[in-house]
Amino acid sequence: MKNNITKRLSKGWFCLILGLVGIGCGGAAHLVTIQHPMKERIPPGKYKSILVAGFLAKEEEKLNLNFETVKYLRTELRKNTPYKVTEEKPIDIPPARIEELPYDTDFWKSLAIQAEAELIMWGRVNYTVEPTAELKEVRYRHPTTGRILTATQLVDMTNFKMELDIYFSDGSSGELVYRDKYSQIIPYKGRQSADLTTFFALMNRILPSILGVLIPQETTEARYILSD
Amino acid sequence: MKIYGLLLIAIIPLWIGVSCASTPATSDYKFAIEAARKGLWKEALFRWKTALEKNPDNAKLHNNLAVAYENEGEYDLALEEYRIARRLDPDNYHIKDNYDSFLRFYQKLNPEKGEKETEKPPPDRTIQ
Repeated sequence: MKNNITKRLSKGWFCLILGLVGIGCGGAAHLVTIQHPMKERIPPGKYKSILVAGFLAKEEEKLNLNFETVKYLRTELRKNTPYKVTEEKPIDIPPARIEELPYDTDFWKSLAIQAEAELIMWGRVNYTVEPTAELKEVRYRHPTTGRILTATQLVDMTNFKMELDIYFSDGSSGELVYRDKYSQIIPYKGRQSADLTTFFALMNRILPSILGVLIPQETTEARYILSD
Repeated sequence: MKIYGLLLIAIIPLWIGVSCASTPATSDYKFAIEAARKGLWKEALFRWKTALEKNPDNAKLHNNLAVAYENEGEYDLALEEYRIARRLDPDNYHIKDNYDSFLRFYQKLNPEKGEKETEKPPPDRTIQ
């Protein structure tokens, strides 16, 4: 019996020491942030002026999405890029023609002449609000004992989702130069309706990607570096 | 009891030797880690390259070099280093995580290469 216990203890110590040695030589991982230099997608210097023409949008009760998107992008392009941003009344993109419009070179050429712009940005914007519920851990004080306890509770949330399809058309040829899709979701606690504050919060998240089409950008990423 | 004692005495030095055999026993390695953590990536890159000359089969070094190349915008070189790291240590979670994240970025940057850059199974393993 005593012999058995001694054997088990020895085995235990043996495993513990091996484990410690293993950990000692196993190395460590350090999480670091790195910058990804990103070149612009549209050749720099090719175009001097840009027109943010308009966006096809479902009409929201409170927001004029086309107007707000155009206004926001014009302001940001003026602030952040060397392009001359042309002012024109936002155009209404006909929903029936959205699929063929990227290839309607005559339409974009005539618009470019009218607005005196070398590059035209336009597209489709979709801003949706989806009620949802999530299980979350909440801490509360027990009414009788006074102890802090943790419980899982179903919390009402609202997902605000922005989807943006952006097209860049060449003003002189009317041809499509670049297109991309962007989307962002921000979940908020409680039931809320779509408003301008959330619209700007979503656009601010998408903006670096849009600017990356026109000017060089840097994105931040996390990576592990490993030591022995 | 005696057997376990003897085993411990025999195995521990052996274990240390085996576990740490791939350690680039140079100050370059540690210095590079510190440099990278402080954002001095060019310095780190140089040190890891030097350390790799002495330990060309160290997967962790290849991983670190790949991260440094990424930071410098040398994406093709980063891809090459990540692939070597994955081949040398296919089960390393952190290397796999870095490689997957990099591939997502790389495929977005070069959509035309998207088909070619899908991950291959680690060597010496067959898919059932």
